[in-house]
Amino acid sequence: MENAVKRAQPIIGVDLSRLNSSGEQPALGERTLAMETRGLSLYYGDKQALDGIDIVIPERQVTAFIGPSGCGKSTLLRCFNRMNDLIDGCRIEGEVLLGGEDIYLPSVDPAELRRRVGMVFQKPNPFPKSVYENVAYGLRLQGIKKRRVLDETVEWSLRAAALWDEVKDRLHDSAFGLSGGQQQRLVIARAIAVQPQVILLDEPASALDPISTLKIEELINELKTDYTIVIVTHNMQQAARVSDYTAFMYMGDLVEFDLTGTIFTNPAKKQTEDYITGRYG
Amino acid sequence: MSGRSLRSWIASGSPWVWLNAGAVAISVVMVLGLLALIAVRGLSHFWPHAVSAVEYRESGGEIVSLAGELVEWETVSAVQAGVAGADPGASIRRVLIKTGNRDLGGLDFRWLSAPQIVGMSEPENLLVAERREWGNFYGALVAVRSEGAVVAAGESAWPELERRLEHSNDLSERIRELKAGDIGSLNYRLERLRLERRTLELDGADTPAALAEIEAAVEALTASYRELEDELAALTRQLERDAMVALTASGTEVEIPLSKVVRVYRPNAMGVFAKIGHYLEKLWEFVADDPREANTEGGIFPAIYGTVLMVLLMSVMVTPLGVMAAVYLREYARQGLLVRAIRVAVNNLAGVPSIVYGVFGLGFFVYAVGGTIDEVFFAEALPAPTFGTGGLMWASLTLALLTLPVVIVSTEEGLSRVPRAIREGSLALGATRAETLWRTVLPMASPAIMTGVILAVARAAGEVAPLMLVGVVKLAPSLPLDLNYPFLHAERKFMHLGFHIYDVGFQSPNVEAARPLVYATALLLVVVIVLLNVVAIRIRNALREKYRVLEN
Amino acid sequence: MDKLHINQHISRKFNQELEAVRSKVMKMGGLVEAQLAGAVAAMSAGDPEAASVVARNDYKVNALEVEIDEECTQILARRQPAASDLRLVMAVIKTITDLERIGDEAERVARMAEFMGGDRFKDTTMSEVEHMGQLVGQMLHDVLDAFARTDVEQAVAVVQADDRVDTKYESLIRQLMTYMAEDPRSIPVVLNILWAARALERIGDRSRNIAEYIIYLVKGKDVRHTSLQTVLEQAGRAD
Repeated sequence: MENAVKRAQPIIGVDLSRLNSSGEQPALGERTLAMETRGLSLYYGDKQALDGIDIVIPERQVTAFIGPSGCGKSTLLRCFNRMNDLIDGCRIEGEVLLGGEDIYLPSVDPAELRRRVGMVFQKPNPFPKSVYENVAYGLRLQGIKKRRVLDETVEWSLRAAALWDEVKDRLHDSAFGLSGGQQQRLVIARAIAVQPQVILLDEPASALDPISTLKIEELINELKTDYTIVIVTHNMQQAARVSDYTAFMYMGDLVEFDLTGTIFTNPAKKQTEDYITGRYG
Repeated sequence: MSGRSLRSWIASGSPWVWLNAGAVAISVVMVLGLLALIAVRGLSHFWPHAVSAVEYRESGGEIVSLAGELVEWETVSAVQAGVAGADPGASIRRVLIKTGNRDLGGLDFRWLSAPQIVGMSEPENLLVAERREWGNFYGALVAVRSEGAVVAAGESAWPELERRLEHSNDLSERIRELKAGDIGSLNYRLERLRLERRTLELDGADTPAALAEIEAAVEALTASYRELEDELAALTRQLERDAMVALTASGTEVEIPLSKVVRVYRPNAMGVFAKIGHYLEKLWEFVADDPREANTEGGIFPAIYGTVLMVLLMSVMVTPLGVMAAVYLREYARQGLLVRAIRVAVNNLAGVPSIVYGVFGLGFFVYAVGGTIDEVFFAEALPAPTFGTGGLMWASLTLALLTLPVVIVSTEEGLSRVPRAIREGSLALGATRAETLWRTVLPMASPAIMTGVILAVARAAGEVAPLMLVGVVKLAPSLPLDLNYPFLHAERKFMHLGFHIYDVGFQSPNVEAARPLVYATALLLVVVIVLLNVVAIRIRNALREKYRVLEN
Repeated sequence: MDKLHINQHISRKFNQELEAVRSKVMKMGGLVEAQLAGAVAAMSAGDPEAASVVARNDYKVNALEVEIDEECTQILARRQPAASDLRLVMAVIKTITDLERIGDEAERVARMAEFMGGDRFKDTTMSEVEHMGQLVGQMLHDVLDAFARTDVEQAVAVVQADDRVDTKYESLIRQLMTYMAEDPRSIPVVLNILWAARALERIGDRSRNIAEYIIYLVKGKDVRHTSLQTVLEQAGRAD
């Protein structure tokens, strides 16, 4: 088993070896990195929410963040597209790199960044517009007005989100008429319509029924051929099902980051073990 | 009921339910009662009441004949009724009769004590003539005259009168149109030319050439003015040709020129359908015509027009202002002590008595701002003020200020109800905050904004006190919106239903005649406010349906 | 088994379920151990009665296997165990399979003893077989002990002990082949003994398997099909 997985050093030299007891770099194979953080700390006023996070997000893979409530996983996720900027009194130290560039440099336009790093939230949040206009929203923001381009992109996005067949006859009906699971897939279609590099999913299935959840998970699996996906989830089985890499966070620290298979069969840290097996830590 | 079951009845909460339901019931009864009162009193005024001929023994003993409408019966103590030497405990019935003929008798209402009424009948030949001056005439038709000669008398007089009256009313209408339309427009243009010349003088640009140009234009206008005047004179001569001769109840023969008569009818001879037709005609006149006789007769159209226009203008002013203020307070301002203080101040503004706004509007808008505008832009008209006096614009602006807190509070409420997830969803797609606000948040808050506008409209339409200081008059010479460029004359004074009620009810020279009109006008004011609200509510409900926030 | 902290789950019912499975495995182990001891004793004593009792008792082992299997399926379906819990359940499922096979081998030994009746073969050979029986009995005992205490050291010792059993088995085979060459009439009896020795050797192998599951359970490293050297490395290093 040891030899089956090729162990390669990450391309950008981040030392994650402290994360597992063997002192080895997590197995990243030959992957390139989409994003990475270096010594990322985040404060809400005086309260520290993230403490020196070093993590890498492999390209075209699904990376899951798990951990108890308040551990900072959503906060970390929101650092990747600067969603935390909107919160008063939020301060950041360290770097978050996207394609090797720090996204927190003053020269970076957050709106432009968010076009490259899309996000889907816990509750489906379609806009009070038609299905079509929801998907076209990001395109219209970019000033695209040509009907043909819009039509094509909307169809392509809805197909990519496995929603086209269900909504093609009611593209111009209100998005609120869709079921919760369809709405969430619509929101995903809306996110991929602007062709981001990275898609952040913040507990995307927590408000959905199990069948819709499975559809979302299947969608994630399909999307990863084209997109880098980072998902925060409370549902450990979901993380185990959909992700390639899993990071376990606890109290603002990144406790362990490794292949999902490793995390769920043989985690290195007792904290991780206690969390995923349901023991009191 | 034993003590225990009483306790359990109280504990079950039923008493509170009853109490609450009772409060609701009382409120509903009060509102409906109010509406019913003003509806009955106001709407019955237009019904063609029967005209009675009364034989009445005066205190002196002589018997007089009277004709008029019986308005109301009441029972009062004899002392109050002014019966000499009456027993303090005794009471008598008396009736209020509208005798009209103010030009002859001076008073058109009088109280008759029931015991002194000798006889009463409703002869069919009694007619009511609504006149342009001196109120109604009650009497019997004798003859119709044209250019002094009798053209019809006796039985044939009535149809002839109706025919000729129709003709003379047509003429009156044409004269009115001529005066208000062409002649008014000419006057307006002449006045503008005068102001233009004044401007040239003020600017020192009054070269002979320019003056000659204006002079020529004035010449042309004056020429067409004279033509119109001739036409007018011809019409007037034609109009003054016919007259009716009638006999009053007391036997005096009166000649009334038809140019002074609006309408004649014989209520005692009318069937139900004729009465209904007459009623609807009167109702329409009330809604659509100009007032006559110091607002006690005719319609109140200018007041409706002024009220609606003022409210619309107010909405147009207050909505963007309130929305922008609310957006800044809620979306952009750093939520701190200062913003809290501003919010408290805004809320308190809503509680300031409206007359204070009127004073502010007069002092600031009319004198300070309006005065300055006049000096800068309308110097040619000075010393006559243009914007430096009360007018539609200042009234609307004052009311906009008055209703601003309502719009701000309600918009803020709406903005705060837009879910964070929606904003974040928009931002996550690469929208800036402004784009998010404009494309998503404001549309979703639009029902709340409309609610604010509804409340503002309801408050502004009913507000009278501040308007008295900033532009409402009892009789406006012209409407603030007409066909003369620039069409909307925001500097003009205007009429208002609320003020009209006050004016007719308390400032009228003829209180008895005006009282039904107070009710009718009040009813109309309520109807106008309800209509404005219904429109706004419908818009809001449509928006609400469109931007219904997901409930999950 | 406190190394695995079974009793620290937030769900006490889960604790009880895992504990129940574990103690049933111990019960099954004890049963299999008794079966093996009985079979070896019957063989060395030449007591067909005792041997047939052992052979008949195998169904109890099978029944326990089915029961534990069912419980493990329930745990997998309902608890979706992860990490050490998952490894425990997996180790249990595999362990009981091997235990059941050990039970079968013990039955086979017992049937040999039954078949041979009261006949005694050469004492030296029989004592060799008996010794081998004791060796694998000890292995089984040790591995069950290691399972009970999740003792990796002891599991490693069992893996090492398997080599000694194999050596013993090979020398016994050589010995028996010599007898068969010398006296063809003894072949039927010798074959019987050979089968029995073969069964015992298999028990040793299966005990080693169980020892490897224990290493996997505790260390999370799969040491099957690797050299003893690797086993020692994996078991010893990370602790």
